[in-house]
Amino acid sequence: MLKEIINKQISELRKLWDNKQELLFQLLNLAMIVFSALMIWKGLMFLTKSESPVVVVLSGSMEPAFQRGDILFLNNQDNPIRIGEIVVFKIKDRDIPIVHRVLKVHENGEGEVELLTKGDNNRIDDRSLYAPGQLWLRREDILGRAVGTLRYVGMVTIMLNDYPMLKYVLVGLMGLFVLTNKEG
Amino acid sequence: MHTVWVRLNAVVFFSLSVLLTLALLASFTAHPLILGHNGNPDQPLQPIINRIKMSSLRSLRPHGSVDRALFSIDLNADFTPAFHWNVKQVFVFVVAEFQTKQNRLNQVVLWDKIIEADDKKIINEKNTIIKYSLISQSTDLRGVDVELKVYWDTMPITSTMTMGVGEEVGRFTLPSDYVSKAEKGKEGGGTKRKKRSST
Repeated sequence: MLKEIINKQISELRKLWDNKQELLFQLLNLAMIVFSALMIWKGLMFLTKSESPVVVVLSGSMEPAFQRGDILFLNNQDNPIRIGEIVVFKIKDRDIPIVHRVLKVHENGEGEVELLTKGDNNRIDDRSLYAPGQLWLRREDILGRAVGTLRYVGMVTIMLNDYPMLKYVLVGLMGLFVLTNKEG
Repeated sequence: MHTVWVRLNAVVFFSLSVLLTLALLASFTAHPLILGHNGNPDQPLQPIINRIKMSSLRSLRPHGSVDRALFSIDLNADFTPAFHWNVKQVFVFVVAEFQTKQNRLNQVVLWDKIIEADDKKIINEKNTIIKYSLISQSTDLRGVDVELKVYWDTMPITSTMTMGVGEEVGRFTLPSDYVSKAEKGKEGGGTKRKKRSST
């Protein structure tokens, strides 16, 4: 069964290689899929003013509100962050953004805001997670506030993160099928 | 030829659209206009906050470069009306809002509670010590007017999250001098809003 499929794919690729016009068409097809995805992502970035409009929850520190594998939709409009909002923030020199709730807001006369966060499921606030010596988050550390969630969808991302090889295999397979798919 | 893949693709895509439509419909049914008031037009969809106030001050002390106040609160609220079929949990938190010389707005969470769909939805806290003490950004808490407000964040199973705040506000003024320990006896009753004593 598997061997059959592989053989079919190889013969399809050979046929494609012989027919340059067909090959070009399929390549354009592939490019269109890639660029549509990119356009949707960039469009979301523009609408939400967030550099990452969708994030995946990676830890259980906000349970039971969010679980590992939920995806969150973020909004980063200019209106000020207020108490109790769930924000996603990034700490300098750390790759993974954190999703937690705002525990303290201090806004001075110039409108500059200093925030402290805490996970609903954590016993203490986030100072130990911040950069050494950092006591507060500022507005620019915030990637966005969470406005909605979808359950389980992020599990795929977590798997891809845990097994990087899977990423290449999946992308390779998808590319291959788009190329050899005649009805595409 | 590749009909297996074409069909698989169609099935996956179709089920995704069905799921998305269902999610959208679910979030619409949770809208107050459609859900109604659980059949009772007099019943509000918002929780009922009966009482929020500072009951007794434990201490107001400087800690290095910041002031820190510790006290207990009374909170009586019914969150039953805030729940409907599409609510996973309600996150309730009591916030102290105050102004200081340094900051035009300070919001500090003092107490919080997660109410899940199966939990008891009536909160009745009497003289409960706050979970997180009231800490300012400098030594400027003496004589400050504080407003206690009850906020809630409703988290649906599928929909957007909504936040609300109760109209009931507990106001009190912190003493104009530091207080190291609550004096027993004088603290009873909790009717005195303003307490003065010196270390």
